[in-house]
Amino acid sequence: MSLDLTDIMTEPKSHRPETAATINGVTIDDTFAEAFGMSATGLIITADSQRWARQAAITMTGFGTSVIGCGAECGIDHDVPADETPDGRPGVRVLLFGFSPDALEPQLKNRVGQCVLTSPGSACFNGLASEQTLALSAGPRFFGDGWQTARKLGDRRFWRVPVMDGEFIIEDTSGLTTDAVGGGNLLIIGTDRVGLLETCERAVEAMSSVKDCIMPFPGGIVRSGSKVGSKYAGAMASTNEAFSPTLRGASQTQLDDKSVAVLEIVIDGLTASAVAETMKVGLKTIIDEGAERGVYRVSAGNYGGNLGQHHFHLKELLN
Amino acid sequence: MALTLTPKADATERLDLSPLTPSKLQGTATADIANLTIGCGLHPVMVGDVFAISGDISDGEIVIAGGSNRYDNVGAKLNAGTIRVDGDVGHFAGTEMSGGNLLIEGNARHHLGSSMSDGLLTVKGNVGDRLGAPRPGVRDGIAGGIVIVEGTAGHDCGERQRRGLVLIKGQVGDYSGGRMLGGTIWSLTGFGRGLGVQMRRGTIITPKLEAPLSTFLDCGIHTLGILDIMSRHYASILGDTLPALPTGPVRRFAGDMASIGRGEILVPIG
Repeated sequence: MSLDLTDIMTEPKSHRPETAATINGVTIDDTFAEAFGMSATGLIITADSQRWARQAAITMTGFGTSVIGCGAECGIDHDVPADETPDGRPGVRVLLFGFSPDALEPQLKNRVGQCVLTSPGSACFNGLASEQTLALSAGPRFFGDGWQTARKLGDRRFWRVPVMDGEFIIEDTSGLTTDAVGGGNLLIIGTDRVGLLETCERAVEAMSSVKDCIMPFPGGIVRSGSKVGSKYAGAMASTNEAFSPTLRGASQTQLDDKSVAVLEIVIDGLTASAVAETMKVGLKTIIDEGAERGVYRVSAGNYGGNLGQHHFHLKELLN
Repeated sequence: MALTLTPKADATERLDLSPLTPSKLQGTATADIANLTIGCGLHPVMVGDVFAISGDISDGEIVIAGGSNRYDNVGAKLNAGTIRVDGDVGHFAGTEMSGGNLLIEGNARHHLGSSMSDGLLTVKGNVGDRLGAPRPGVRDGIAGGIVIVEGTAGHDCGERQRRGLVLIKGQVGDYSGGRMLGGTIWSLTGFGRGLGVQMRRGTIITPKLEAPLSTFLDCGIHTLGILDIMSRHYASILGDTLPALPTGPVRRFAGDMASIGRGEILVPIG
C-alpha cells in the first residue's frame, strides 16, 4: 500500500514580500527596515599611536552588539586624524547607542572606566557637538582619589587623572542626542554561505565610509537575526524562524527554495538620514557584487510597521 | 569709522572712563556722549571737556587716541566690541570684563583685568601690581578670558585666579598666583619671591625657578598632555599672536602643600 504524503505534509507557508526590483541578478524585496528612536553619544579616543587609540576603542566597544543583552550598542565610527583631535594625537571616534540617556550613562561610565582609562596613553574627549550632555567623567575622574584636577578651556572642561604612565585626560561631558536611530537593517539572502559572507564584508566596508553610523555586530554582520519574545520565559528575543533556512519548510518562512543562508547588517546612526545613506551604500554594493557571488535577494526586517518610528523602504534606497 | 576720543589736554584729575564701552554707548548720540560724566572731583568733568569726539559707535569700536595714567576703569565691564587706547591707562583697566577686546598700547597701572571673566586684554607696555587680582571686598580674581602683557608686571599677579590665561612676557613681581584656584599664569622671563603662595589649584609656568617655596614638592620631569590641549585651544583663538606653549618635558612642582596642594609650577626643560 502506498502512502499518500499529501495527507500529512503541510502546505508551504511562504510569506515572501513582493519584488521591488531585480538588478544584476539580485532581487530587492518591496519591504522596509523598521528602526527605533534611540539615545546616543560620541567620543573621540586618542593615544600615542593610531594602533593604541584603536585598541582602546575596540576594547571599549566590545560586547556592544545589542541593547537587548549588552546594555548599549557600540562601534567605531571612523579614525580621526591627529590634527583634528583636541590633543593633536591620532584618534578614533566611537558611538554608543542606548534606549535612553539614563540607560546610556552607566554604560558610558563603565566602558570608559574599564576600557579607556586602563589603555596605555589614552585620552577621552567628547565626540558629539550637542546642547544635551552626558556626564562623561563622572566615574573615571574619581579614580584620581582626590589628586584629579580640572582645566576649563572655553566651554570645555578637562580632567587630569594621575595614572601610572602619566595622566589620563578625560573631558567632563559628552554630547547627547535623543534623535538617534537604531535598527536599520539589510537582510542579505544567498545560495552560497561563503560567497554571501564575502559580499556582506564588502558591503560593510563600503558602509563604514558613511559617518555618524556604526554597525555594532561582529565585523558589522549578524547571523542570528531575532524576533521579539520567545516560548521560554525570560528570553526577550529568539531566533527569527522566518529567515532560518533550515526551517523554511516547517515555519512561516519568508525564504524560498534557493536560500541557503541569510546574513543581516544592522545599522545605528545619529540621524535617520545617516542610517538611510548607509543602507543605500550597502544596497548598492551588494547589487554591484551581483548574483555571481551567491547573493540573489535582499530583504529587510520589520515588525509590521507598528513598533518602530522609522521605516526605511528598500525601493526608495535604490534611487 | 570707530568712535574716536582724542584728548584735548593732559588730564588734571583722575578720570573714570567706565561709561565708555561699546555696549553702554550703543545708540547714544555724539552730543550725549560728550555730556557723560567721567570726572571724580567736586566739579563734574564731562567727556566733551576732555576729549574731541569723532566717528560713531555703530561698528562697536572705540579708540582713545592718546593715553594717561589718570584714565581709570578703561574698559571696565566691557562685554563686547573693541576698545583701543593709544597710550597709557590708569588703574582697573578691564576690570570685570566679560567679553570683547581691550588693547592698551602703553602701560597700565594696578588691578588690570581685576576679576575679569572673559574677553581678550592686551597691554603692550608694563603693568602695575595685582594684575587680575580682586579689588578689596571682592572674593574672586580672574575667572576667565586671556590677558597678554608684553612688558613686565608687578606684585600679587593673578591672586585668587580661578580660570583663564595670564601671559606676561617680561619679569613678574613677588607673590604671583597667591591663593590661586585655577587657570594659568605664564611668564616668559620669570617670577619673584613667594610664587604660588597658598595656591590650591592651577598652573604657573616659568622658565626658571630658583627658590621655590619649601611647600612646593619636586615631582620630576614629565610630558603633560594637558599642555598640548591648552596649546591647541589658545592657538585656535589667538593664532600666532600667542607664543607656543611649552608642550615638551617640564619639571613639575606640586603645591602649595600648605594649602590643598593641587596646584603646580611647571618649568620647561631644554
